[in-house]
Amino acid sequence: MSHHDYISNEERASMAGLTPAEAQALVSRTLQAIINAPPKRTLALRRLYNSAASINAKLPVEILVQIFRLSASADGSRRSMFRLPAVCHVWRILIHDTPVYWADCLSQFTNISPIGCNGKYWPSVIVHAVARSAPLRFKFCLYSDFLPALRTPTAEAHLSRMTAMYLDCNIRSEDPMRFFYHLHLPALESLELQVRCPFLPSPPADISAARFPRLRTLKTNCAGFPLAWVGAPLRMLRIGAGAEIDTPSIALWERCCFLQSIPKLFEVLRQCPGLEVLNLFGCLWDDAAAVARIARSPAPTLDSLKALNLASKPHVVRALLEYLPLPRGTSVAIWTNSTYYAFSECLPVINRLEAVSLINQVELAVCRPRAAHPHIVQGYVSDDSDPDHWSRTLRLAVSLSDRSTTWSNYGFDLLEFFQGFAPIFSQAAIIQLGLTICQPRYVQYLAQREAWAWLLRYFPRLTHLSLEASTSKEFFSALAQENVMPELLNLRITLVGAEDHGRSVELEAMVSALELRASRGLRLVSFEYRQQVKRRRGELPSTLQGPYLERLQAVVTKVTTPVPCYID
Amino acid sequence: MGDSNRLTLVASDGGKFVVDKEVVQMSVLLKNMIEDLGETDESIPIPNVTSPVLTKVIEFCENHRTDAARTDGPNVDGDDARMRTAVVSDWDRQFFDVDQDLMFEIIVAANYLDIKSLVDVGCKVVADMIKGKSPQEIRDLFDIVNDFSPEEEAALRKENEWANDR
Repeated sequence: MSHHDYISNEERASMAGLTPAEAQALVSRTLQAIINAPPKRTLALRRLYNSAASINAKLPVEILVQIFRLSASADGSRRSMFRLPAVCHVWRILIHDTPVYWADCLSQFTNISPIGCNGKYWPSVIVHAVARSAPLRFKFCLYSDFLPALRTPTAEAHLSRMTAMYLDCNIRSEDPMRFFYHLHLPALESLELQVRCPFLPSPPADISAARFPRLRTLKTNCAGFPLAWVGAPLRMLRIGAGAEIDTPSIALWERCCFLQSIPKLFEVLRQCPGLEVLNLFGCLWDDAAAVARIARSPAPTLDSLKALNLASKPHVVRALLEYLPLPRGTSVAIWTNSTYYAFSECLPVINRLEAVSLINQVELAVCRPRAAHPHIVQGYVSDDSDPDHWSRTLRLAVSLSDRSTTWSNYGFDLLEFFQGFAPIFSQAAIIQLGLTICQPRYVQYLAQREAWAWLLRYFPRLTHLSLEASTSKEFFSALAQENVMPELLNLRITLVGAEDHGRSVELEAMVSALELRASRGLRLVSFEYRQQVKRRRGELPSTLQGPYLERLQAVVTKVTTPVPCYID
Repeated sequence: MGDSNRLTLVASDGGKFVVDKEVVQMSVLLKNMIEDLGETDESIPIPNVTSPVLTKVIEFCENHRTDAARTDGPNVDGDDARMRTAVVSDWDRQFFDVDQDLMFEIIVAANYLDIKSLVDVGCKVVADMIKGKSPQEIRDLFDIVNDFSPEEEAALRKENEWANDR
């Protein structure tokens, strides 16, 4: 057999007239094509086989995509992102053409906890996902050592889609922050920044809001360079500790640095007239001279402000409130260390809060929600359009940390406490009052009878009153006096941990007081008597019935006595 | 005149199924058809669904008939949230304990008939089958072979390094 048997006449003809080198090149190309042919054919047959596989042949593309997304998110690991595109050609093409699959992966790995360069290839993984997730918007939760990964051409091409960023720069590495100072994120709407600025390089002189032209939310524990990014679109500004503060001490611990001065703060606020929420947690300098300078600085106009949250020392809070004009409906919340009887220490003397005059409901909790944060006073405005007044808006909250009374054996003077909080509010406006008086261990309440008598006379227009306490005897003793709460119609008493041996005394005081009021023509429309026992602190008492219930029903239009229950 | 609360569905192979209207209203397609037809004795052809598949679909609807109201309301959170939060009960898993061909045909029929809860549960069951498996194990599960080109194999090797990065 000669080689002529395998070469066709056409192939021989195509070589006619070629130089030897050209002829060899042509044969070489033909040979390579023949060598490559079997794998390509094999590949084609394999793909044909896969296209006939039941899952690919039967399920429509949109169902397959849903299955892929569910599977990737159910696994919750980095591997899952690359596992499905490694199954077969069709799946790979489909997944690469499904931006939402990559967006799912991104949200899974970048929204929950910060990502950093904890692995050699990790930035590549994220950038790969970012590149494929187009055109969706995305947000990042990062450690600063990840920032250089955003410097690659692939990543930079997609930064314009980033809308939110949480950046933890507590890693004391300078270089990544240098990059951040020059980052331009035109779509960024929310930036949360944790830094320790003394350890960072100085920002460039031209650092400005132009880098983040759409920034609506800025949360930072640093009162320094990040404030340069405040601009007209800003709606929420938080400086200092995070949202979950318990006491001013915690706020002070978490913040990075103090604001240079209140005038500096006012200068910042003047640049964002549309601000709706302002949180200043532990970032205000409490030096007396710094506070005194407030009076000399022109105040910003914050007509859109809906909420102001402050954590600082009382004199700083008061000074700020006196010189920062607030719209009438602004809700104010204050966390401060103070003595328990001096709530007014933190409220303005001049420029009183207009929101206070709107408040018609007050709630007071002593020793709630935890020992280190014992006193909370909250004033609400009820919605007039709601006949039952269930809809309401918080307008003033003052939370005081007063460790001295919590941890000592000294008594807690209720009278001083009531006299401390009540003058905050408008006497004539308050029609609802709710009080929770816990009984902390080792603490005695002093001057109870005088305290209740004073309080019940202080708010003469009360129509609704609710009391949760371990005893109500002194309360009813005060209620039985003449000229006390003539407009009271609805009363709810919750006794916590009432013990049987003192129960008859409590009940007699309660029923006698209401009978006495009724004899003066002051009948209640509704009265609810509820008993609760802390779990593992004794047996449940029986539901109120018998003579006491009959006597109550004789003097109150509607009596409710829910079945006693345990509380945690 | 037949029972006005029941109707007859005709599968693609001619199989007839008499079912409560309330049950088939889990299907948005059939619900709209019933509303368009009004009171009628006419049977409704389901041309894309065979008898064995239709039997299973009706079984699912019968079992979930009390959930039917949920498909009527507006889809507030969107398809994604609904599908992610879909609960697959033991009964549902038992229901889908069939051969793969039938399982996929049920999902396709549910998609055609627009029975969202059945599509959601079906997708979740298949996703759970895939969960935690390697690419080769997934191929074995669905009778798929490796059909990647040399270029794709090179890209896969890189991705494999990324995925196993510590």
